[in-house]
Amino acid sequence: MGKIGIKGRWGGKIGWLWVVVSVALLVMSGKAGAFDIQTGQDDLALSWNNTLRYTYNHRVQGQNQAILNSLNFDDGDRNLDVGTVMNRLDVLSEFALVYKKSYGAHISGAGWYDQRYFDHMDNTSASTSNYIDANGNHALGLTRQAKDQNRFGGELLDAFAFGSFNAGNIPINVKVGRSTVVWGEGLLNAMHSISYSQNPIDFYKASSQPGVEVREIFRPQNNLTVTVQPTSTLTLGGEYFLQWEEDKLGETGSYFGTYDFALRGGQSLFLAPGYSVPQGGIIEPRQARDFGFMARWAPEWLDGTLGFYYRNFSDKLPQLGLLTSGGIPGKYYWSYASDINLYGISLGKSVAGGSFGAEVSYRTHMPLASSAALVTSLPGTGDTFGARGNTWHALANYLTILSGMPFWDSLTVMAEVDYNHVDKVTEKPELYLGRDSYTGIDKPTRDYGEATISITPTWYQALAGVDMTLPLSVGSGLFGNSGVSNGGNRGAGSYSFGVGADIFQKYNADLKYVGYFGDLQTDATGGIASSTGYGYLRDRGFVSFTLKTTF
Amino acid sequence: MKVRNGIVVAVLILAYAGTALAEISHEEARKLGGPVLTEVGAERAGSKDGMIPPYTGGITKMPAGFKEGSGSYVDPYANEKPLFTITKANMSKYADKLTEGEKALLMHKPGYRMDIYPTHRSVNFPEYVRKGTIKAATTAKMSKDGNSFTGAVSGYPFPIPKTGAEAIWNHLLHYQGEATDPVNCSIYFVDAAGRSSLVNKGTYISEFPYWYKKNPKPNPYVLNRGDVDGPPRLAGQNYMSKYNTDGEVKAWMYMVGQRRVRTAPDLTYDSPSPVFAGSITCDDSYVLIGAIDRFNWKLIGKKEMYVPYNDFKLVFDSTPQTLLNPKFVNPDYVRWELHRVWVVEATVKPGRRHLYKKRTFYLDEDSWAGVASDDYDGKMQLYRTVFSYLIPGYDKGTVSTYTYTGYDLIAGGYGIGVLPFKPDGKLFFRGPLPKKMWSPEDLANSVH
Repeated sequence: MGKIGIKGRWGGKIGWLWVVVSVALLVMSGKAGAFDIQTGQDDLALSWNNTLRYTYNHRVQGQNQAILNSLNFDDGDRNLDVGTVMNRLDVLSEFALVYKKSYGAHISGAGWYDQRYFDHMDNTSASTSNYIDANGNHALGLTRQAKDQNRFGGELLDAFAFGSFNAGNIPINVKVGRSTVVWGEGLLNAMHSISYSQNPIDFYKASSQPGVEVREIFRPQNNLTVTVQPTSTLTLGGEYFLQWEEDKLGETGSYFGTYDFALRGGQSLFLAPGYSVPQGGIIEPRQARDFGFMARWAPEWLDGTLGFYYRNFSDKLPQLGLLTSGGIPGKYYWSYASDINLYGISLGKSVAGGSFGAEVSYRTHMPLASSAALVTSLPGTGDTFGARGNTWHALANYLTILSGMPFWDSLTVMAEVDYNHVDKVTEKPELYLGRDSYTGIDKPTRDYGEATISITPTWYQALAGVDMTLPLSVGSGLFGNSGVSNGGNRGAGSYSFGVGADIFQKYNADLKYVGYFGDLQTDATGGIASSTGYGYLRDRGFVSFTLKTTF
Repeated sequence: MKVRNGIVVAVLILAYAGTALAEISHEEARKLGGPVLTEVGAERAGSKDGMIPPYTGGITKMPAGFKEGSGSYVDPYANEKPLFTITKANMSKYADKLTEGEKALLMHKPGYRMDIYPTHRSVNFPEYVRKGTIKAATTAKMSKDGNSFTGAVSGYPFPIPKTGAEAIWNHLLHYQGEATDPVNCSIYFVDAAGRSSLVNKGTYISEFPYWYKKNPKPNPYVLNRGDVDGPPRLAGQNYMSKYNTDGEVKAWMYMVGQRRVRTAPDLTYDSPSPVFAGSITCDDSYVLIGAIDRFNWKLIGKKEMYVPYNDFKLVFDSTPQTLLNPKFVNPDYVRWELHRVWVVEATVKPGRRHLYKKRTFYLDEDSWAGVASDDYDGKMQLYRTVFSYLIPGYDKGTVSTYTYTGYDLIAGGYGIGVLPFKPDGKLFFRGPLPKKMWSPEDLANSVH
């Protein structure tokens, strides 16, 4: 319990250091060409790339009354009313050392500073705030975790060594340390992919910063990854994780913090107005536990690549339980399940000039969307409070670049459809939200499907030195409700539209509107009785301006 | 007897006429390597006025100071001065030897000039290329649809071309070794306001299974692999592509943040070339790459023209600061020579679509490499022009047109790549890479 990882206090110090050093470099560098450090040795290459990103978000949608009326979902909404909700500088600093193009190490870190979270928060409702002050009372304020995540913090990301060598005739590549590898052919949605929970995902950064880099969303963990290429058409790989970390959601009180009681920063859970229970802790799975095998095969006749995968892993999204004594709930806990099995097949192929990917996977012992459990004793490490079962998942996606239309120079199109089918509930069906007696709006159905499409027209050199884009995207559940947590709901999703400029091949400026939609159901008090995943965000529509550069 | 011979000859002529567009006769093939034509089909003789010398085998003795394996090629003609200079003022005198693109640059870009140097027919192909061409010449055959060919490998398929499509296939296959390996090379774009930016930097290998010394294969005929190191925001965005003679292209990309490989959408035909900020099309690269099926091809004939040639100074002695003038490549670095070039014209097939309605290509007779092209838009206005700065890789008997530039004459701006700028840029011609490095999954072994 209560593991202080490198993300904690140490992480803050490292992050601060990165910010200071990187900004100093920017100031000193003047012309700031690439930091390819000339070692004078042909075999040794050092590089140090820094990405500086400024994000300004302005909320335009007013607060939704049902969300405000909800004791456990209102803190973030109340803290950041219409107006500035982010005013933040991020630094991503990446250092690489490569010897003979075969051996080396990578270290990267991220740091951030958001002025908005130093300023006054808009929440005036202390009695509904899940934050507990030093005296043990509900009060207005931000937890330490919320401050680290939102206000001023930093962390180590990659820190791994790698080597590529031949064992006889067979190329082998080994990576050890904190790194990220994503398997499968998923493109836009990780929930139903073969890569589900392969790495912790920073959902918070992904939503709050439209300009975030992909490598900040998939968070590295300590692992050992080996790939072997026995023939020119076959690649085998294995990974063994030495560390586990949960998915990052918005912390309590942050703009995207929808669950006031979630994560380590969640301090209390209201069971009724004025009556709350504190968090007892997080029941983590064992740190060194998860592993996986994959084979990717590209025979000539297929004209594509087939992938075969087996993974045994721990979930990175939790289930909720309340520890009762004498029938009275004392504390609430989050548990993360381990020993989930995933069997998957993927296909990657060029079709009609575009890139096509598809996956089918089957998970057993998979945690399902569940009601909070009431227990008299806590589950053991890796066991979980809620229902588990067997689920099918599938996706298909397509990426293509079209040209030859008069309106733009080129059009990038990315589209994906995802599908989920609950095969069997194997544990605690009485808690599964798909049970007959549950009537919430998010009640899982056997089948669920969703689609996302993103199109980006590009005009090259619309002004001298400036390429312009008009990115548009929308994603929504189409039918059913997914049986897995955060798996999606019919009629719920997000959309964005905006304009972007790529300036001098060096700076990116983007202005976009991001909005969310999804139903929720209210109860007699006017608060949320049940909601789709995006329903909690339906009033968070905002305009975002991002300016970034890498040097 | 005579009448009967006449009929026999007529029948023979008719028989050959049926296949004349397909293969050349053994009669004609025997000319290759003889006194009139080189093995690859160039006229040995010099020009009448002597401005173009006879072909005497190209560079066979290594120039002083050249270090094999250094990745840099010493300019054998470094001490030469231009014979004369063409500018806007005197261009009418030389109009018949200038491409439309050259004329447009002289006319409309103040300060543009062309320094004309003595002609050196410096290309010297290895024996297997020359012998392979004589063999390929009698077996190569255009496909029925006229877009592809079969029956040849490891030799120029049409050294005595009858059609534009045949000539252009010689260009698509021109001998750059078993593999060309530009290491730490750069691609720059200079926008319409004159500001230059690094667009891409890395190692871009092109390997030619068509020209393998051992086990050559006609398909895929070229393999490309780019390991991108810069600019910083693109570091690690590696890619691989494979081209077939029937026009099919397969491509893969490495997704840096996720450390995995995925098929990549085709960037072919008239997709704007991202590395040249859209100022030329993807198939404008290296004068022309990719499928030719959207055009009808016409062989206009041979002409003497001023084209870039032996551009060692530009490729190896320039820097981004000295080379990239605001409106055009610095004329101080560009060496132009008079050469005989095949002129091939392409017009869009009815019912097909391309950004360019018409294109003219100029192919060097000694190497078949395209050295210049003119591209016309839908209104038949001259839109863009591409030049490749040909250099012979004299120790390996190759020709490299890896450095090329493309001007957008209507919007302004130009791009130039691939350049082995110092201190770390190098150009090598090598043998084939291990087969496993051409498996797309190998991109995941990227160092990024």
